[in-house]
Amino acid sequence: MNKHHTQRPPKLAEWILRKIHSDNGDYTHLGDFREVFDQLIRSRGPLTAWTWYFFQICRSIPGFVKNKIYWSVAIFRNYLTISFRNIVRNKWFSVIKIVGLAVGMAAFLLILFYVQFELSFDRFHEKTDRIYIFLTKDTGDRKDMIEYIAGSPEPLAAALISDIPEVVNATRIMKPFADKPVLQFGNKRFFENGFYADHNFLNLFTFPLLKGDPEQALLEPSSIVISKDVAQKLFGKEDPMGRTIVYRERSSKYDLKVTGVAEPVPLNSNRRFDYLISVETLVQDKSKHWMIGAWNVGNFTTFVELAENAFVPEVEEEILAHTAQRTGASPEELKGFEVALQPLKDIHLRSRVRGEESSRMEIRYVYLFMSIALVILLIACINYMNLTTARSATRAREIGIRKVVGANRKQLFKQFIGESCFLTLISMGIAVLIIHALLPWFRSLIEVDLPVDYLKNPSLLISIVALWLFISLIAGSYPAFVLSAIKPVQVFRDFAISGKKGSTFRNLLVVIQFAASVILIVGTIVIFGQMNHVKNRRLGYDREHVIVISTHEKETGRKAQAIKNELLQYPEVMGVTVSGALPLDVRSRFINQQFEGEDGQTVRMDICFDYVDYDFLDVFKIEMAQGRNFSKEYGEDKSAVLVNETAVKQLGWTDPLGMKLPGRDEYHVIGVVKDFYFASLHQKIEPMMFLLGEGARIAARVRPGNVQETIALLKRIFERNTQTQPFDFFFLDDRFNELYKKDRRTGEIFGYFSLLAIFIACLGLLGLASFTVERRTKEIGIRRVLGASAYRIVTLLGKEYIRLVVIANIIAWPMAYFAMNIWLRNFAYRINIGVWMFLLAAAVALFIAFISVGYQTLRAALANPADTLRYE
Amino acid sequence: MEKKMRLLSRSEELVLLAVWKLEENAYCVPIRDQLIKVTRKKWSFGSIYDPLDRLEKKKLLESFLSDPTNERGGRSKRIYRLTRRGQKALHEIRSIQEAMWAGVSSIQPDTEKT
Repeated sequence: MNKHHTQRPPKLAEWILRKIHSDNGDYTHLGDFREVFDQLIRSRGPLTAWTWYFFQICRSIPGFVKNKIYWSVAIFRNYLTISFRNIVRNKWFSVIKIVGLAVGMAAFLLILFYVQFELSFDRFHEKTDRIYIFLTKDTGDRKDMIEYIAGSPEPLAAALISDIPEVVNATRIMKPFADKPVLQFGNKRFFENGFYADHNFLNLFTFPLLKGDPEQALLEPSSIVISKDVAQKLFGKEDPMGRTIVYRERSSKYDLKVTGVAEPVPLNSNRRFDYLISVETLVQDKSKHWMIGAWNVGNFTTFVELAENAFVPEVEEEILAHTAQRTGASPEELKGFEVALQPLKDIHLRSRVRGEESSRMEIRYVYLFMSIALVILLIACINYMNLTTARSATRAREIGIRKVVGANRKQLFKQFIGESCFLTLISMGIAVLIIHALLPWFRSLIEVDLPVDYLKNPSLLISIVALWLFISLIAGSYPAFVLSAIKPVQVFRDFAISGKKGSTFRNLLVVIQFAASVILIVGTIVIFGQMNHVKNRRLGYDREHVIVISTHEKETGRKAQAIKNELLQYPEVMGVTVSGALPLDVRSRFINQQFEGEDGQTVRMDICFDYVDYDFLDVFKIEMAQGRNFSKEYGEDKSAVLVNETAVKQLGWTDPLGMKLPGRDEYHVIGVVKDFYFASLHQKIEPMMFLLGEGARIAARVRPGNVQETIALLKRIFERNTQTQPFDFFFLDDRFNELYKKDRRTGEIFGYFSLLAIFIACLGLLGLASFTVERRTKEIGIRRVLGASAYRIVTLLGKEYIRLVVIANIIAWPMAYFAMNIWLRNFAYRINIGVWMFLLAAAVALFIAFISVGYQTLRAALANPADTLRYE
Repeated sequence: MEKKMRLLSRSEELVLLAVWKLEENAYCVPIRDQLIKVTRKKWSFGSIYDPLDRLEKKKLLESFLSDPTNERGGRSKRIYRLTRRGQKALHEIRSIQEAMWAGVSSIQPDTEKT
């Protein structure tokens, strides 16, 4: 064994030799060395042979390497010098090239960083690939109900663990009943966001604790884990562990012991919290017993961890099979009932849950942003390619000489790729500077505090380097291809190379560039048009000058009436209403509500509803179409119902007044309100009704003018009437804008980045125009001498580009129309795409093209022919 | 031969001659052995490959691969052969040498004098 081993030359030395001298893959040198090595073994033994082999190779290295390095360094230095000289010689040209590319790359990277962030949601959990959210869907007989709900009953998690072998673990969370519960320590009170969490929550999800034991922290009843920020706010520098916090929401009040302090929740987590309360707290609370152990209440959200090799559809089937047995439901009742397990990492972008879309990102917006980014990059690359090949004339002689001296095409190709790497590197440096300069602005644009930390997130750095290489190769390869193909014979025969060669391809690229720009312009016009349409649409109610105060606790809610009465005494307040909903979020819904039909029989229909008081319609200025509003003159008006026009239409009522709702204590219709948009404009107006009742929101219409003072007044009165809850208010107008935040944000991003794309395209056109003008300087001079007017010359030169832009428009229009139609389909109420939009886009593109070409040509046309013709 | 003749370096000359002498078996190892034997100096492989490469580039030598043999770890030999130009060059070197040496009486280094 040992002998055999020593009879082979040292591996390392062999490897070195193989690397430095392959003899074109034949490895004959390796054989030469081996032969002598074998001789030496025979004559002087393995040790000598070994040492000899090793030293021989080491001795050979300098000789082998020297040649390679020497020549490559020499040629590299030459390349570098030449590229540098070229940059300096054509200063403006280079600036346009580099800046255009830098701006394009900066825009691309900004969007890429943002998209990366959106895609990274919930991936920081160690078990992220195995965690699923439990969703159900109950379609009954109706096939059109496609949305899932995340609500699941309290005993589900334990049942899943014991029934389904693939379920390794399951954990439950539950949102508090109030929007904003209050945490109190001493006299410090804060609204915080958080939820109830199971004892194994911190085990399943990766939310590290700074203090406390993740296994124990949520085990006991009345335990609370708070975030570092909350700990800081409530306890300052003191140790929060073991302290007692008072927690208040609606009707509940708990004294909770702090058992842990959590690290701040990452921004890319879907479930964010400032505190976690043990679910056991609810189990111990007598007033919550109605939902503990009950299969018919779905207040919890359940997450399961599946075994590594579990097949999801199979598990879903299994769960369904166990459902009947666990809940005691009959097969009839379970008809149309479905279970789905959605992977945790899909929740953010592909949420299947109703009503969650608006708060989350959607994958199609991610695609939209990514395509804008790609278009910008494309335009920037085209610029670079065009400007480089346009200059090929100036490089032709250099290339000719190189070829004559013996450079082959491969070497020249390498040279130009290298040059593009060098230029792109400069651009990339500028791009990174631009990114950091624009980051604050970009963050406010996307309304996300986008983290850009190269150390924590190496993928950012990787994308920068990858982009650099990619652009160098993509943008560099075509010019390298063209330039390396130049034939020396041609160069030296027709002394002035026209540079016209390849201009067809260049023109094609210009057309693509402008077509992309025009699509973006049309997109911007349509998006802003639609936004305006939303903003100015008659909503059917007045959203201006309304301040809404939320009451989060039952105690405070009970004071609402008193607060209302007190508010009404002030002249600043024009009207007050206490209601369950606001005109823009009537969301409660009766499924299959029965109505009296026109011909006596019962009709079933889903209908949205909410509770309002006598003043609701007045405060929001909602008009009546028929009948009367709720009124104290008619006594209690307890069983009175107001419906909207859509409900009347869908039920086919000719005379709605007095119609009854069977099965609901003889409710009857007393009036019809005119249709107003009680949800987002993305949806059509649905049937809706108002009932008389109590609500948790106090809405006050205030007199325009000194808003700050009015708010102070509201706050004073609110606090005089309540003890525990902090004052919490918003403007109805703001809440309305919130509804369209995502659309607005998309529109803005789209707008800014298409502006940028156009800017880059213009830079390119400017460069090309200046090149054309330069190339034709003498021609222009001669034309001038022969009597052509400046106007004629400008049109002569500009014509070519204007033609390209016109062609680009014609190509872009159908594409833009198609794309924007798809986008508009998201809105139930949308604008029509008008011809004027295309014409406007065309006008903008033409105008911009004219400006960038016109300046150059005009300068050339006005130049004194004596100067331009002097040379030669 | 009025054409300007390119002078070869000493090592190139020696290598060229060695290739000629070895005839069919002219590859790196025997070339090196030969040179070591004649010059009684150490020749590294690198100092043989280099002139071989240069001579090949000057088209004085041409090379081909032999069939791989087992004793060389399965590697081929690169066997060199003189081209017509190489032969001419060698011939020329010889005639130059002989012309230079003509009429010179034999030299015996005088060791005792120094």
